[in-house]
Order: sequence, then C-alpha cells, then structure tokens
Amino acid sequence: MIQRLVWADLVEGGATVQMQYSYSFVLLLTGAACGAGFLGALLGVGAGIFLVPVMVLLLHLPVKIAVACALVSVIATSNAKGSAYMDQRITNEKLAMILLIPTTAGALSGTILMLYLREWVMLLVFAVLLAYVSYTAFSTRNADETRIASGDFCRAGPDRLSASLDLHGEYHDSAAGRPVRYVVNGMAVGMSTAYVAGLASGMLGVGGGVVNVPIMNRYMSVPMKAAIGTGKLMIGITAAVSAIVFLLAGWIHFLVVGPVALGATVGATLGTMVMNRVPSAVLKGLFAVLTIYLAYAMLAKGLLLGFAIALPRLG
Amino acid sequence: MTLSQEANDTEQACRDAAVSRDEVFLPNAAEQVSQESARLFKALLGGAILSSAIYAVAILRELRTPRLVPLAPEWSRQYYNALNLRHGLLTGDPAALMLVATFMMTLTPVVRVLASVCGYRRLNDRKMVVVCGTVLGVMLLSLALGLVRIK
Repeated sequence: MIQRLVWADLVEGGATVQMQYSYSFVLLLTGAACGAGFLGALLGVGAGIFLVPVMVLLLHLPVKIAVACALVSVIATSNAKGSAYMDQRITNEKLAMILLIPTTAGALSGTILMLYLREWVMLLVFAVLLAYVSYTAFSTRNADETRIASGDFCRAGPDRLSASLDLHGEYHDSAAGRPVRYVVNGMAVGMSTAYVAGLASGMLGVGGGVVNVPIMNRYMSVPMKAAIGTGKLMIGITAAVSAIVFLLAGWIHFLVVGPVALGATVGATLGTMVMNRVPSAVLKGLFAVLTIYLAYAMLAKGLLLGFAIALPRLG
Repeated sequence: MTLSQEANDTEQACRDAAVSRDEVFLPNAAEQVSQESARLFKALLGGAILSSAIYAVAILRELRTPRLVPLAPEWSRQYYNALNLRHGLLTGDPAALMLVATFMMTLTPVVRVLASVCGYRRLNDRKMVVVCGTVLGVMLLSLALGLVRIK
C-alpha cells in the first residue's frame, strides 16, 4: 500500500522524472532517514549505507540524487552526536585526521567518477560493497569482546608512523564495565584502505565508515567502539568533500534533502544514546543481516537495469 | 579461573603494558585538542539544529502547496543565482530555505577541520597542523572543482 502510494507520486513528465511532493512521500522519506540515522549511529557508519538502497528501491528516486542527498544525511549524523563520542573520549581525533588524508582524496576521486557513471554500474558496485561489509561484520562479530578480555588491544606495539604521531587511546566501555586502552598499529593497511573508503563514499554516498570502521578494528588494533567514534568524526568530513561538489553541480535536490537530513539527525541522536550500552557482537550481527539483504536487492536492480536479468525477489 | 579473576589479570596486564610506555597513556596535547574539539562540536551542533529547524519550516511550507517538481540538477541550479535566491528567501520559497540549510550543513565539517588546524597550531604540534591542513586543502579543492563545474 505504502509502496503503491509512492509509486503514484512519481510521474513521467517528458524527458525528466517529476516528483509530487506529498505527505506520504515526506513521511516515508523522513521515517526511512530516521531509521537509517539510528542504525548508522549504532554502527558508526553514515546513514547513507541504508538510506541509498531505501531511496532507490522503495522510493524509486534516481541513484545520483539518492547518493547526493544521502551525503548530507551522513554529515547530519556526524554532526548530531559527534560531541557525545568526544565527551566519552571514544573518538581518536588524531587517528581520524591522519586517515582523512587518503579518505578525502579518495572521496574527491569517487565524486568525479560518479558524475560520469551509469546507474546500473553504481548499483552493482554498491551491492559488492554491501556484501563485503556484511561478511566483515559477521566474521568478526565476537572478536572484540574476546580481544578486550584478553587485553589484546593494549598489548599491541605501535608501528613507526603511529609511534611518531603518538597514536593511542583510552575510553570507558559501559557494556564491558571497564576502561579499554589501545595502541594503534597497522597504519600502512589503514592508510591504503582509507583511500578505497573515500572512493566508496564519493561514488555511493556512504561516508566511508563502512570500510574504515572494520579496517580500524581488524587490522589497526582499535576496539570496535573507538573505531565507531573515530569513524563518526571521519564520515562527516569525508561526506562534505563530495557533498560540496554535488551541491554545486545541482545533484542535491533541496526538497528531497530536507526530510533526509531532518530524519537522519533525529535517528542519529537516538542511536548514539544506546550505542555504548549495546555489546559489539549484537551490533555486528544486526549490521551483517541488514547489509546482506540490501546487497541482494541492489544487485537485483543493477542486473535488471544493466542486463535485463530478473532475480527472484526477497520479501 | 573465574571471570572476575580473568578480568583482574587483564587489567594488570594492561597496567604492566602501560608502565613500559608511561608516556603513551598519560594525558597529552592530543587530549587537550580532543576536549577543545568536543566543545567545538557542541557549537557546530547548534548550527546543525538551526539547519534542521529551517528544513522543518521549509517542508511544512512546501506541503501547504504541493507541486510537481522535476528530479533534475537543472531545477536545483536555478537557485544558484543571487537574485533568484534573494527573491526566494524574501518570499519564503521552501527550496531557497532548504538551499541555505543545506549550505550551512555542508560547511560545518569545513569549519570543524579549520578549528582543528588552529587547535594544533596553538599546541605547536606541527605534524598535526600539516595533517589537518592537508585535509582542509582537499576540501577547498573540492569547492574549486564544484565551482569550475558550475561554469
């Protein structure tokens, strides 16, 4: 019923698709952005990773407008509760700034690439990214608690770059009920994958946290919650690099971005309130299930548009 | 071994590790910057709330007189003209209001990085000034590219 209402709101008007700005459309978009912002805050990723598939698959908006508007929602989620992560000392600002050099460079490259890519290519790339993220989250869902309990994070030695920049951190984990200390290493892996994260952000409007957060956790000896807090700072800045270009190019549609930014801000505020109370394994399990479902849906739409291959619908 | 014993052993291991690198876990300049950043983030949060309020007003105004809107970049770009924008703001055009809100929202991370450059500069942390300055440089490059594309 809801889907039919929104379908009816999109009218083919000559060469360009037109949108009837109705209560049903605004309510759906705001609700979707709120849910995406909530999940994004819980998992340290931008709302875009959930919001772009919803806008494309459910609301049938053009992919480029969905990506551009999702980037503003990523900035909104980063702004909304960045101070809370800073207050709790979960965010590692130095680490964020260093990783932002390759991430922002990647975001700029991804943005330029995106302006010239076909819609079905973007859908397929998005599907691959989601599948990778789902696998990473699922395969490491229990690793964090085990590593915190064994003191693995604080025993790790810094590598040359992290020693030279004095990269370390400490925060209080409310779920574990104890302070967690860690020393950052694996900077070479982190810096090189950060460029890919930026590329994904610029092309797909996801903020880059989906790649950076698991990499920081898995290869750089950063506990999941510190990676999430650091990722939260990074995604806003990364998204801004692309959003500036999209805004000036006209791809940020003001009537779409309003409900998206508003919903994402409310959702992110609620999500941050509960983030530090939820065990990492639960967060990762939830993330893995959602992302694999969205990967399949994006793959199905990409194959249909690019090669006229129809995959069976799930749900 | 009970869970509490295991936790105590882990705490001890962490303390031992910290003793060998005392400087690693002591409060340092980076933490001062973090505290400053937290304060700055709160100020930027005010900007985000203001943007959200403008969005809310604009959405409500747009819903009063629903219209068919093209989903194309040309439609957004018609507001990138000082006269059109001024007229839109004076008449309370929802799209013009949302343009201002989006502009504010998009610029907050730029201000955030600029403040980090200033913060690390005050602390004489040259390496971090270079790091943050590079990030700011990429942001300004994106602005320049966007302006070139408009032309």
